[in-house]
Amino acid sequence: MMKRRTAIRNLTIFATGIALIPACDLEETAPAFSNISLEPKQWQLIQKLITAILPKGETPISTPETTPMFVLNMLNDCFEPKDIKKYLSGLNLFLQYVQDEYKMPFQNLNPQQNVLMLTEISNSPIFPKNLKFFLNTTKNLTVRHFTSSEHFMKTYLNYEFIPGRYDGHYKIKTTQG
Amino acid sequence: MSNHTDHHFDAIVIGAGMTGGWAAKEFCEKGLKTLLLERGRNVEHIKDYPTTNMLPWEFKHRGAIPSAVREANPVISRCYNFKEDSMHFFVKDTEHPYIQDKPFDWIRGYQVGGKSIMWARQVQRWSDFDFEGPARDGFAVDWPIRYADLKDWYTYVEKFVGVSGNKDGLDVLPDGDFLRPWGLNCVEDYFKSSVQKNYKDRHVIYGRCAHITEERPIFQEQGRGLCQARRICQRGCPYGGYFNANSTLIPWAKKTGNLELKADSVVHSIIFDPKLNKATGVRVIDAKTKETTEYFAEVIFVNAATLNTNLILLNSTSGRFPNGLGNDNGLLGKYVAFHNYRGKISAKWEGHTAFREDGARNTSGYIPRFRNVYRQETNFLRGYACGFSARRNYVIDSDGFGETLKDNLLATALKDGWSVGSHMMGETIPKERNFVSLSTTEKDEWGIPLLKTNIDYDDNDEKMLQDFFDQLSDMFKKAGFTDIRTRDTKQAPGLDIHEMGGVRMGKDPNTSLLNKWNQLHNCSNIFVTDGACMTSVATQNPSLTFMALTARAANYAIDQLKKETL
Repeated sequence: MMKRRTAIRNLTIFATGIALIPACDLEETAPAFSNISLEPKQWQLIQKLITAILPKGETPISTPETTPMFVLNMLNDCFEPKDIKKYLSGLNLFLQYVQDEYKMPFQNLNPQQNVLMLTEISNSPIFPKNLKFFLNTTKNLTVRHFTSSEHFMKTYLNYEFIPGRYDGHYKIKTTQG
Repeated sequence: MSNHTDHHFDAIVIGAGMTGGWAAKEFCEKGLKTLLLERGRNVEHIKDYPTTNMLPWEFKHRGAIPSAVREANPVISRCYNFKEDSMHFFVKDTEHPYIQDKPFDWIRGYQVGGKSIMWARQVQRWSDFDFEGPARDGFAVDWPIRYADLKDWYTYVEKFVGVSGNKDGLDVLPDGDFLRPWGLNCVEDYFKSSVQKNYKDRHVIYGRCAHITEERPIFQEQGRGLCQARRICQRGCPYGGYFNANSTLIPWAKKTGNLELKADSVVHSIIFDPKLNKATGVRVIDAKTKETTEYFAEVIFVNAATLNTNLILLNSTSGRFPNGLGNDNGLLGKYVAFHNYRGKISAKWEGHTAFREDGARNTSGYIPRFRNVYRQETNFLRGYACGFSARRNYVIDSDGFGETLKDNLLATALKDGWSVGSHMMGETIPKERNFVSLSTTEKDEWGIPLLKTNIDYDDNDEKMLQDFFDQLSDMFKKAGFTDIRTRDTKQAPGLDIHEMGGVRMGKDPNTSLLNKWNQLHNCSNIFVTDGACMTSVATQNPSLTFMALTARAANYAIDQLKKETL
């Protein structure tokens, strides 16, 4: 009896332990941004959230900056001060919500718990506006970083920098199956 | 010709943009020592196009403008082409303030090349249906010229500039000297045949554009190559594939050895000598040091762009001309008009799903004006041309989180069906109550009075807008397009970037400022050939007409100089 309970607890710890292995590129302290200063736990949350929103694939794709840097660059430079405030307020609400609901930091949740929580926050009307704004903004910028990457644009959007030709009546080649 | 010192020239051209570049080229080619003055900085072809080879992901903000810039510069931020890759070519509100007595979005490019760097390159000739507009319909004044006066100059300009087009054989939009067209896509061709089937005298044609699509010896001589359809022309083009002054006109003028190009030179006013009864030169303020220098010439071309040209002439006061140079009749600065761009329409087409576009092109479809062409038929005067385009979009599904989101994004594919759209370019009626004037209280940092704009839409514009919605909706419905949506952008005048008038041409010095040669009626050695000279605005993208008028007037001026009749 005792052995089994211990075994299950150990299993649980082991399962969350996988999620606890930090990505080797998780930065402790935030770079300086002119309009935003982030505490370490806020910066780490953003990094973790981004990975939870859009997990990395097997082959890393090359981008001029990391996704967290892009998110913060866009926020810092292109968002109005009032929206930056909303975002940071939402970030703190997020940290608080995870603690209240799961009794552990966000980085300790497993992928299924992540998705569940993020979906709920995004869809359910009971969550504060700022919290939704924080999540949706992080997601939108994460997606934009990915869909504006060289890999995505060339592979999925047929992007060519120097087309040098035009055929407005091009018949799409169909493949079997 | 005068003795040349470094302050004396045969010709002075004010403004190194689309038309100033042309005037300088014509003068230099014919042996005239020419001073070309530009208030902004120099922009050398290729060397000064900092973003031209950047890939989309190399932009820190992926094309977006920083919020601090947008907040400080609301007017320019409304311009469709003011983006991260081109913002360095547009004038910011804070740099050059002006006074809007009524809302007017004044879009400017103060550098060598002017707005010819960022323009949309659409070019069409006027026909006599346009030149005869004021006389037939009873507004403005009669143009002192007709299509026959400009026809050969259109050809002259097209050959030098390089215009891709299709010979459509339409009386309402004369054909030009064209390089091969990229062509319309299958849905645009489909719409074209639907319109042809269902309407009389309405046409959907290939949009004529200033791009090199064929080799010609002249382009080799200019050092320009074929357009590669990168669709980032606003950055400046390393191939010279589209026409701008920097790639085509300035180097050509330079190699004659007759061009003196002075950037950072703000023209304060034109110097008028009452004894000689003509202009003798210009007062120039150094943009940086604020020092004033005078330059002298036999002939002066004012090509500072429509409203700047008005400003310079209004600011050129003297005992003879207390209200601005040439302004005996008090009409200088008045009868300014623009193009009504408020109408937009979009829809969907479910056909042609087996087809897509391959590669790219730098134009789309064009619908010449079809309202009130042969006779007055509607409850408004004049009419509108339209752009028309069709495209298939990629659907990016960003639903979900985690692996679901990733899977959705990696399933990105071409949308079933096509999006189609059209935008309106309406002729507005020039009126005395639409005018610009100089502030009597506020000056800019060069001591020049700020310009005040007093320009608005009228009832004719509102009726025309509704007609665009009705007619295009009908044309779309007949083609089987669905989900038709119309939109009034409610934009202020000026955002069309086609403001014209204020120094209008006409037969009678009592009711116009310029004669048939673009010469000031009251000062024979001053010519105006940029948008300020326009008596009416028609529906065409105007730059081609500006350039043709310039080439014609410059050659007339050269002829007159040689005969010593200026």
